[in-house]
Amino acid sequence: MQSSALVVNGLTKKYQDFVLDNVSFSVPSGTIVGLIGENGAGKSTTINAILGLINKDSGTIELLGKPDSAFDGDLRNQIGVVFDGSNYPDALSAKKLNSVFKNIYSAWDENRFFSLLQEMSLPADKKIKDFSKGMKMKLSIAVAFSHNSKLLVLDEATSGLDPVVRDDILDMFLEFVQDESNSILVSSHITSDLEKVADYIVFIHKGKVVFCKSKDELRYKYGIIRCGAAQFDAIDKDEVIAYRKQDYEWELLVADRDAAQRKYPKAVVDPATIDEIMLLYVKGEAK
Amino acid sequence: MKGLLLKDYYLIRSILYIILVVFAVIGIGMSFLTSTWVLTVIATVMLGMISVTTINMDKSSGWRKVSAVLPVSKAAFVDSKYVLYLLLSGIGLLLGIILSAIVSMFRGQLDYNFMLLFISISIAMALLSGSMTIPFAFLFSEEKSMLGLIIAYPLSALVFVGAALLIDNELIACSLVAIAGMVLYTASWIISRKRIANRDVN
Repeated sequence: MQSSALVVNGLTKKYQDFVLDNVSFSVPSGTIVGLIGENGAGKSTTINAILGLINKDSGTIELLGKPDSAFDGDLRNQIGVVFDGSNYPDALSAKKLNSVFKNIYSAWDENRFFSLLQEMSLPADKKIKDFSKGMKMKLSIAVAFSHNSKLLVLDEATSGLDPVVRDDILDMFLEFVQDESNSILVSSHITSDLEKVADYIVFIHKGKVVFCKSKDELRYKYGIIRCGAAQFDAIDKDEVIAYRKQDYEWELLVADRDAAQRKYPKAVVDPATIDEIMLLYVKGEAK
Repeated sequence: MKGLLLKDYYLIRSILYIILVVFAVIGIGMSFLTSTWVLTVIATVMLGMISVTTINMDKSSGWRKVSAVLPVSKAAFVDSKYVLYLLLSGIGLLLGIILSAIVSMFRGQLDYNFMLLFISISIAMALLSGSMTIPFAFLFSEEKSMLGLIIAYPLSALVFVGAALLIDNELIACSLVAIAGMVLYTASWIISRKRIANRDVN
């Protein structure tokens, strides 16, 4: 049985104007799990609760086989975290950051850090304030990779980056999970990135988990029926997850596109992208 | 905690020249207007204040969030700021004493009672204000924490006035206020460890 690097069960956090409601999912070891959802859906709240940045109201979180109540010392050494944007003081350089982290992480690998800097073309002596956004993000990732992390937690780590830098970073993620004891939880609203690297997709909407499925199931089984009004009326809505009217056609999301194609041979049934699935869940209607 | 203090050391080093210029301008001016020994108070308070500044810098840079996921206890982050405040105030006090003693000797006005009086004023001012400004900086936004700075110093001065009115001997009065400062600083540290360390970090 595949073990899990992260298990979130019934996570709840209440704010005045928002509730993260009974969120449950897991990150199996050796996999990349993508957390998707629109802005304000609860992705960052979920990640903040997992990392102990906010106190949860209820639920349990298990990190690398240990409950989150034991989330300090050894456990934190094994978890690499990357937040959106730069989170290191601008006055420091990568070299100084190395000295700081050498005194914080017990497993800090100085050689690995400097070789990653070189690999990513990041200057060691330049102040962080002179780095571009992409360079700052790469630096955060270099730090996360330099203390023998077993689990990476990344909150919008690729947002605001150009496609070339994003591609480099995604390749690093894929390389990281080549070791099957390593895992990644990455939140992003750039679903194309997740389509490239994620093994599982967790979709959060209005603080609730809508689905938690393997990416292959979404890519190879889910589909969108595109049809006119007459055909739309003829389709059994019990088989449809969500639907919405576009300018000239109806779009209907189905969980089994082959079955839909067999049942409605005259209809156009296209594979669904994660973006389309997300949009239909958020903007579409359900029976 | 060593790593956290090292980060603060790098930060302080990057703004040190500004502090030195401000210290030179205020220090020279004040020492001419009042007493040479006022330099000890200015140096102690000014250097201690840098610790509070680093809390705000941590918030604006996002380091506060990073530090919360590092393999150090949540209380260690709070501890590092209180320790840094003591270290910097101590350095400021020492620097102030040396500078004031040199200037006083040159002027031929070296008075040990005066020196002791200003040392106790420096310790008291630093600790009383620190016990308020540090938790304010942790709890509130950069703008609002300025309120802590604005309140802390007049309030500390008010304690001095009260003590001076109640006790005739200036040195005893100042020493008692310095002891009160130590008690308040310790209480502030303990409460911050318990309350601030467990607050949500956003």
